[in-house]
Amino acid sequence: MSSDNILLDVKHLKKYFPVRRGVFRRVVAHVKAVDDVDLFIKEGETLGLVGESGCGKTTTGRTILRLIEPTAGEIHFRSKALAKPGEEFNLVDVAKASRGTMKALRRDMQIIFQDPYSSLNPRMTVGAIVGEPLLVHGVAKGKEREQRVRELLGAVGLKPDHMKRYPHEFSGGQRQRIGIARALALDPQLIIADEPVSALDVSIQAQVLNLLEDLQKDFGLTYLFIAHDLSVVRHISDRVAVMYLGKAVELAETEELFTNPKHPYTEALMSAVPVPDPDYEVERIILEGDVPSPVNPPSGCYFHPRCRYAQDICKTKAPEYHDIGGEHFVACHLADQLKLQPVRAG
Amino acid sequence: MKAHTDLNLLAGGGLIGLFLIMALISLVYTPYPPTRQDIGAQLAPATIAHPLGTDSFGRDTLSRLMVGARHTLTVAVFAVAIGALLGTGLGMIAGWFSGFIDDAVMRTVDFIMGFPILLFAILIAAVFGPGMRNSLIAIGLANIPVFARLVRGNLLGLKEREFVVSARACGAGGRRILLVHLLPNLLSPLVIQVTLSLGTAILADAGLSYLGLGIQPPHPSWGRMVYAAQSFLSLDPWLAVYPGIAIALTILGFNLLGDGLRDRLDPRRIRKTRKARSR
Repeated sequence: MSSDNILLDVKHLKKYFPVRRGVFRRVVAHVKAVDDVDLFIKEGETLGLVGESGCGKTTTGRTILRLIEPTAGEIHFRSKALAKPGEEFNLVDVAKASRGTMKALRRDMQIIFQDPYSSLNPRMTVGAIVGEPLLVHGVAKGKEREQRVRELLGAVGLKPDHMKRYPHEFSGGQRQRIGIARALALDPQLIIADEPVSALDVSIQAQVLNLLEDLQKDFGLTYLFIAHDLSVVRHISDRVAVMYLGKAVELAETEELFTNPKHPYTEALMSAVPVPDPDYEVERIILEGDVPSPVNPPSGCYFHPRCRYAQDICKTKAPEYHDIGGEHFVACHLADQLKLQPVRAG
Repeated sequence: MKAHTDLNLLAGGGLIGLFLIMALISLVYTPYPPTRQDIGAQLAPATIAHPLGTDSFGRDTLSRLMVGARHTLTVAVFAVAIGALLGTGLGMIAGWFSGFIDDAVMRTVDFIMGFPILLFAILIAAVFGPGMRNSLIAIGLANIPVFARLVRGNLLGLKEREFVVSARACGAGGRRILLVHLLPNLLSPLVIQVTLSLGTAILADAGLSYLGLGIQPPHPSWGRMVYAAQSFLSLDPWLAVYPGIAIALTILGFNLLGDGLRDRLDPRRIRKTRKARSR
């Protein structure tokens, strides 16, 4: 991989939540929410992050922003806000950033939340919500800030006079636009969109997705797009990473991943994508059993108890996450041997 | 709903205003000095000279009621202010920091709550002497736990909401999150608790006065007047009725005021009504 246009490079990211029991609150185990995740995002692209509920997608996103403290790992980020005079950017390890550095970094990395109902403070006006980042960072004051808020509301398709209103007066889609305007306020480089459309009506989803795509072009944004809806991810992403039980199992360019999956879990996930063609036959792969507990994950490859191709080696040895060519990363012992079923191009 | 809110505010504000004015007037004018005894007119019924009659010492009931309002309102308002401020502060500290600090603060609060207010007032009176200031402090401290627990409980729920994460994501510090994001969302339950506490503070003050731990005779308070009247209930029931009505109306007034204020402070309610009206 060429390293000059990589905006975010996450290496061996781990987040273990302690499980405490008993009178003395002793740590008896760890929930391995994020367990050695590697991924990188190039400037201006959209990286989709998919996986079923509880696989650690959201935790990964929030750990990158240090909204959750990582247990281990490196998060290299090319920050513009921290660039020294005369330089275009400064490469920092977010995982080790001090409080002051972190505050400056927040200008470059923002988040859009899933639930537009709980992510806006019900006691603040829209103007205060969208203008808060400007206030906190002392970027714009008084009239200037008001003007900037008007522009931001315009950019996301709301009316400037909406700024005097409160969040409860808006619909879900409009609220999500308010959240997007807030994330844009500081002119960030990277936006982590944590299932930004999954709480919205299908008719509104398309509008918000189009808005996100337009904003990406206009503001030169880079997205980490977390989702579980594969058709949404296929539509918006340049590359896609698949997570299972806290681990990244496969990462490739979108069409490559959909047409040439190399990990059996990806294959199973893809087989659930509905294709709008009644003559198209696909073998629907139903995974047996439940997702194992991240407190006590299986030995070897985490996926082996549910994998229909599992061999003996899968039970004992954890597969390495490696590039099989063309920036197609996969963590499977049998990646070169299996012929897996693709989703029809489209 | 708008009309309803306004009615609450108006009625509550009117009642409290009335007693406040009465208390203020008593600073410059009362029909009689509140402690002057008229030996010839003990337990007199309502007449032109004594509109609400006199008590067993021949003291003018109206004058005593007016001066008593001053005392009762002062104790209630300041005691609840102490309880609400300290309690909210402690509750926010406990709710914001988890672990040891939370445990330490909440066990202290539990200790205060387990300690009978009466015993506490006796203790303060024994050390500093009885009087209005000390009963005020005792009632104020006794009010801390209810506010601390209310605020901590609500805060624990609120701080998990995504708008708090969102505030952190945009770089807001702990103080800003607590004061700008969390405190305004605690207002509704706080206002309700303040109005409830004002009512119980008035009753607590009445109880302490009765035991001789509050304001000292012959100075009047509504609580003392009720308790002094109980020996003469069969002879002159009105003696207990007047201060009783005053206490009841004040509590009612505070409650109405609280309901109205809560509705006024909630953006969700204002807007709905504004829209409804413009339609």
